[in-house]
Amino acid sequence: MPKAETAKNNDLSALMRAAQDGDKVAYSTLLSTITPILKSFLYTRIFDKDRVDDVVQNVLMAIHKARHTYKPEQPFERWMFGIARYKLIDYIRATTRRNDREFSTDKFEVLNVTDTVTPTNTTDKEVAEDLITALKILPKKQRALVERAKVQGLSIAEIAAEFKMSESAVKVSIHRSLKKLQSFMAENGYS
Amino acid sequence: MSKDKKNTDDLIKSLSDNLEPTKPIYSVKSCGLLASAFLLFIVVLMGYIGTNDAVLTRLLNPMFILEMLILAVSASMAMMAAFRLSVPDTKIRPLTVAFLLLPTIVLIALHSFNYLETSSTSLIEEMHNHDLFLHEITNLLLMISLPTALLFYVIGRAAPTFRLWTGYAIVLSTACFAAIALRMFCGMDDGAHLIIYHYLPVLGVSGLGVFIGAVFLRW
Repeated sequence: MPKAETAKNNDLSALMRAAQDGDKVAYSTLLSTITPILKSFLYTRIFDKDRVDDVVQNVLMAIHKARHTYKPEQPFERWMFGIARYKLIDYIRATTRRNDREFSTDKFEVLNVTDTVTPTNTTDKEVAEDLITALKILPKKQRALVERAKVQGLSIAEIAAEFKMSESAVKVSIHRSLKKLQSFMAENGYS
Repeated sequence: MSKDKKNTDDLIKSLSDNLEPTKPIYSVKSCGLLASAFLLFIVVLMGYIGTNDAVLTRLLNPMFILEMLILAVSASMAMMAAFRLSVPDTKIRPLTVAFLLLPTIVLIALHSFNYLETSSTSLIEEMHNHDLFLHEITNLLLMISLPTALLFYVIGRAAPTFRLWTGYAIVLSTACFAAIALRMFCGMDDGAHLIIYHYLPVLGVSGLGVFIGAVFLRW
């Protein structure tokens, strides 16, 4: 190991030892120092760059939870990257499972009256009225989600943050609502 | 400042504010204590259930003593491997691999040799004795259940990052301890019997430890 790296490792190790003794300032310094290191480690390994910060935060929480397992005679970085690697694998597994379960909502991206809903003998005003009626069949929360996504054009992440839901739950809810709307419109003479 | 950066800073602040002093987790001493506790458990079990009549004669046989020593060392090595695996690391270190593989290799080698040298029946013939199989397996499972649960609890309090290998090491360790007791209860010394009813079940349940580890060592 190069000298500079060893010195840095010793510094981190000393900070961790102080943290194990309850030194809050040392702990805060340690976590702030390792955050960019973890970020660069995860950045090259996570495809969805928007999620890097989430995973970094998971790793920081895991480090906090496992801090009693750090042994002073052990190199700190080996211990830290062990946890980072473990949480990274967890994240990749969870993402793979979610991707398998979910569908893409891209095909429902725009509920364009003129494209996807073709009125047979109706004017645009009537179509709009029918759509408003159709929206009313949805429960309040689902209606709000559809309006945010398809009328206001907000991203799934923004909606999830606003409603304090997970992104996958938002996607599933919107998908179900659109299905309901689709069948309602079909029953009312739209192809 | 971006929202994510702010969230991370908030998290660091909250974690630092809630920091409590901790003691570094267990040492080799606690590993030795647990191993001694398991050996004591076996002795108590033997006192309670009783051993077979041939045990005293067997204890005078150097090969039998060697076998028991190998099992005890294997169990302790597997336990040390489990303890080493319970501390986060980037990879499984060579010493841990040695602790895990040596017991397995030594057990297989010892009993293959024993079978080739002494066995009067073939493995296939021995396999047909289903009642005996059930009896030995039940004994083994009964003997490993309590120590395994205890070891999973102790190791689970740490932070194993290689859950499957840790699960394997834990069950291999307790199964090796149980194999010592099993040899005391069972009166048969035939090589084929030992392979089919003692050591294959030990390796089999250790394999199950992989799945148990995957589920119960999540953190």
